[in-house]
Amino acid sequence: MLVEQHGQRTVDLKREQRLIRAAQNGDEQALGEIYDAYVDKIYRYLLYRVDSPDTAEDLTAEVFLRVVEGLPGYQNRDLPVLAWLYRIAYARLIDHYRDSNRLRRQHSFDALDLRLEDDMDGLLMTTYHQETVRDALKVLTAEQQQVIQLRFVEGYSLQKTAESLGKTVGAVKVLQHRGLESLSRVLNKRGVVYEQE
Amino acid sequence: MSITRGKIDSAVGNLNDHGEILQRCLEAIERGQATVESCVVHYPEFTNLEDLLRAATFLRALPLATLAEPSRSEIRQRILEKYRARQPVPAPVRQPRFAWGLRFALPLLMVVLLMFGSGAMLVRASDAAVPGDGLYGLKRTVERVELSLAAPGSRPGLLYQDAQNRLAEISILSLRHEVIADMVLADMVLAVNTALAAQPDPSTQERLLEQTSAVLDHAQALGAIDDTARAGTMAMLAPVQNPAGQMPDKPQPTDTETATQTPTATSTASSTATQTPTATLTETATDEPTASETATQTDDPSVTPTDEPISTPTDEPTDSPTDTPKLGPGYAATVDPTAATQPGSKPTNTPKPKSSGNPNPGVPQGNANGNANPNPNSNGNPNPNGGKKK
Repeated sequence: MLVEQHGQRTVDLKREQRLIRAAQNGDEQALGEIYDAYVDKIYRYLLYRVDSPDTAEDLTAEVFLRVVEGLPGYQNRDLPVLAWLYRIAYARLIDHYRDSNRLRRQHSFDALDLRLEDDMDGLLMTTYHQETVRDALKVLTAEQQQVIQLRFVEGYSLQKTAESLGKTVGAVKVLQHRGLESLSRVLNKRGVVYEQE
Repeated sequence: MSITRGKIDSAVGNLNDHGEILQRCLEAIERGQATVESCVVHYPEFTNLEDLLRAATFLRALPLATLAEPSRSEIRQRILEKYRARQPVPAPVRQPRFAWGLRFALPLLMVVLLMFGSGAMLVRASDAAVPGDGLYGLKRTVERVELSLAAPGSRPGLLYQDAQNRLAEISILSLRHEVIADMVLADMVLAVNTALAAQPDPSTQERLLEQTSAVLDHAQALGAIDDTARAGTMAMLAPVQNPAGQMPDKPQPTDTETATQTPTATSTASSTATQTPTATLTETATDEPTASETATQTDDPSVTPTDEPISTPTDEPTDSPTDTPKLGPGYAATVDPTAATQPGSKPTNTPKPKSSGNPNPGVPQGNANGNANPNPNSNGNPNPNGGKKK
């Protein structure tokens, strides 16, 4: 069952394994539940790593289409579904970067289509922050990125982050420490002014 | 925020491990028990603690982007379409497929078996098998194959022999002092009724009925069946009178793969519904005679006698059973007054064409190639964040 946690929908590990098995056996509803539970997480994971929200959407769709393809062969190794989804998303990102190297980088500001009632300052600031984070995340390893994403973007606890990535709490703590160190160096370099609490 | 040093101590504690200090500070800040500043003051030796905490705070303050609803629904639809397209098309009906396969495979199998001595020995050994034996399924299969390969003129004899086999099996089980299952009795009734319906000679019918009665008496005497089972079994037998000698020995084959065999057994011509048990039986290829709603080998016309009307005696008094025949759990016993009161009526064999193919006929099957969204901007969301703050 979907559970509201920190304002986000999630499923517990046993439940998600049951959903996977059901989806493997043709239960369309189970697949829909998995999608609903994780689509935003995957979207955000991609959003902070690609140039535009549209690209993030496209890649999100590709990730879940790959999930459908990989579902019959999925084996429960006591790893959370999210770890599997991140692996797929990471592979899609690699493909995307490989393809986009041949293309000119299209700045996401070009795609802005602002309406009068939009908060332009807010949108620009959000976009700026997203780009900042995206650039900062690039210096992290894939594992550090996942930990930082879950801990500080998704708001997961240390324990839940460890469970979701199939790692020990100690390993996540180390990844978190090193990830924040690298991230803070990039943010300082870019002159990010932190808002005071 | 006013945070005392004592609160920080209790919330964070004195630690040397920077990873642990960072985690404790993050938790304390999240719970409102500490601030970045208070943590930095508390751990002056942790030189870059402030940078780390500020970076974490910066990330936590970012708006939580979500996929815009139109895109979310569109992607959902696409993956479900692909999912449906990838689902294996379920077999229309398992048993008919088996029946079709059986039609072609079994003669071939039997030929192969007969070509080899071991096969022949197996078949011969299976002759003595009774329900519950390992070779019983083979025995029944051989019978069906023989029947399917038989010329029309030899079918009555084969069906008679099959009925004899069923009676012999009951005798053997009785001698073993085994309690005979209802399904075995019902299977015998089906064989006897089928044979009765196929016999052109009334004397043969009478002889078969007498044999059946004798076998049941014997079984009852040995405790293999009780009174109720015997009465119920006898009630299900369908003596067929055919004064003109025109009883067809070749019922019309069913034109579908599934048909319900409904040997209508009645010992009375009265219109009392409760005295007219109708047993719906099915032949299967399992070791044990079983009954189900779907025949597995209905291509054999000789075992579907109810395609033709069954006449019921109207000129003889009947021994109407007062007890409802005892049927096995797998059998559907239905009261069918019309079967008894209308000897000339059409049989209850109602072929049911089974639907097959896609269980989701209305589901579009396209767009399952996994390509990227062909219309990535279709959501109309002007927000570059792609969503909204939670």
